[in-house]
Amino acid sequence: MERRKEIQRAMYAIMAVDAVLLFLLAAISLRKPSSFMILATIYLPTVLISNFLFLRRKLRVVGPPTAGESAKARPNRFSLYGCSAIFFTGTLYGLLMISQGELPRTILPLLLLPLSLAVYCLRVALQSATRTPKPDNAEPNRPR
Amino acid sequence: MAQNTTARATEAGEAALNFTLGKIKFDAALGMAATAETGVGAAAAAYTAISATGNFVSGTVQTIGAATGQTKLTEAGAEVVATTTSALGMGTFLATGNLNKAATAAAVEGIVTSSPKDLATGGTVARAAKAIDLMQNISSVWNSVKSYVVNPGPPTIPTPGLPPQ
Repeated sequence: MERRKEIQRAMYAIMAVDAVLLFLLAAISLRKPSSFMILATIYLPTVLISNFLFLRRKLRVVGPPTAGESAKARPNRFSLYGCSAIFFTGTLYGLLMISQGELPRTILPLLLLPLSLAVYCLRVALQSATRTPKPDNAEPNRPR
Repeated sequence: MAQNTTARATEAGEAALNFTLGKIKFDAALGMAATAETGVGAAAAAYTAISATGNFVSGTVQTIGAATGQTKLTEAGAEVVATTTSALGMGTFLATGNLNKAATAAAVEGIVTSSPKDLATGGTVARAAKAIDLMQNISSVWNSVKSYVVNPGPPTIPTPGLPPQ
């Protein structure tokens, strides 16, 4: 349980820093619209790389889950399914927008990104479903 | 006056939607990080956390707009935030240089602001028509995908007015 709390704390820290930077970026962009192009181009890759490195370092520090922990740790499957549904719907909506000419065809390959995330979320949710432990008082299956 | 009240209500509704989406994405990112055994899991969690932050910040900006009545300014701020936190939005912005299109693409990725905003503008009849149109579009795409899965090959488009052979 301690491992999960450590990861939760790391995620809160990541989101707090991201949110502050994002507020600053939005404020600067609204005051000086010409600066948006440069700031936005720098922001996403920088934040993505720093988030990834910080999270990976934290995961190495807390170590892999033990067998008992991974059996007990149940990720919120509703959120994983929900997240998957959001990105699946987004991909579908993107296809609609492109087919209607609202968005250029050049961004069609970028739709692989939300689609990959949707598939990944679904995969993690399904894996955690199969890993869900049986209750202690569950009757074992007996041959008839 | 009534127009501003509607805009504020729309903004408040969008803020609530953004907070809900942000919470779902944050929990999903946490689940991914907790079960991550490879760098792929950490990367997916890191990206989903950025997306969730985008939703939370957009929601906060829209809440400020709903409370103060400065809906035009905060809506522009929410578009900037949505575009910045989405790879699809950024890709579109770099390709087209158009913030509106980029915001639509950002909405595509995270279903953030544009789709509810489009559905919420106009009169009751116009909104109903947009909702029906969207449902019909989703239904036609779904049918095409289904026919492709059942019968691999390019989907056939029925021609109205021709008798069946």
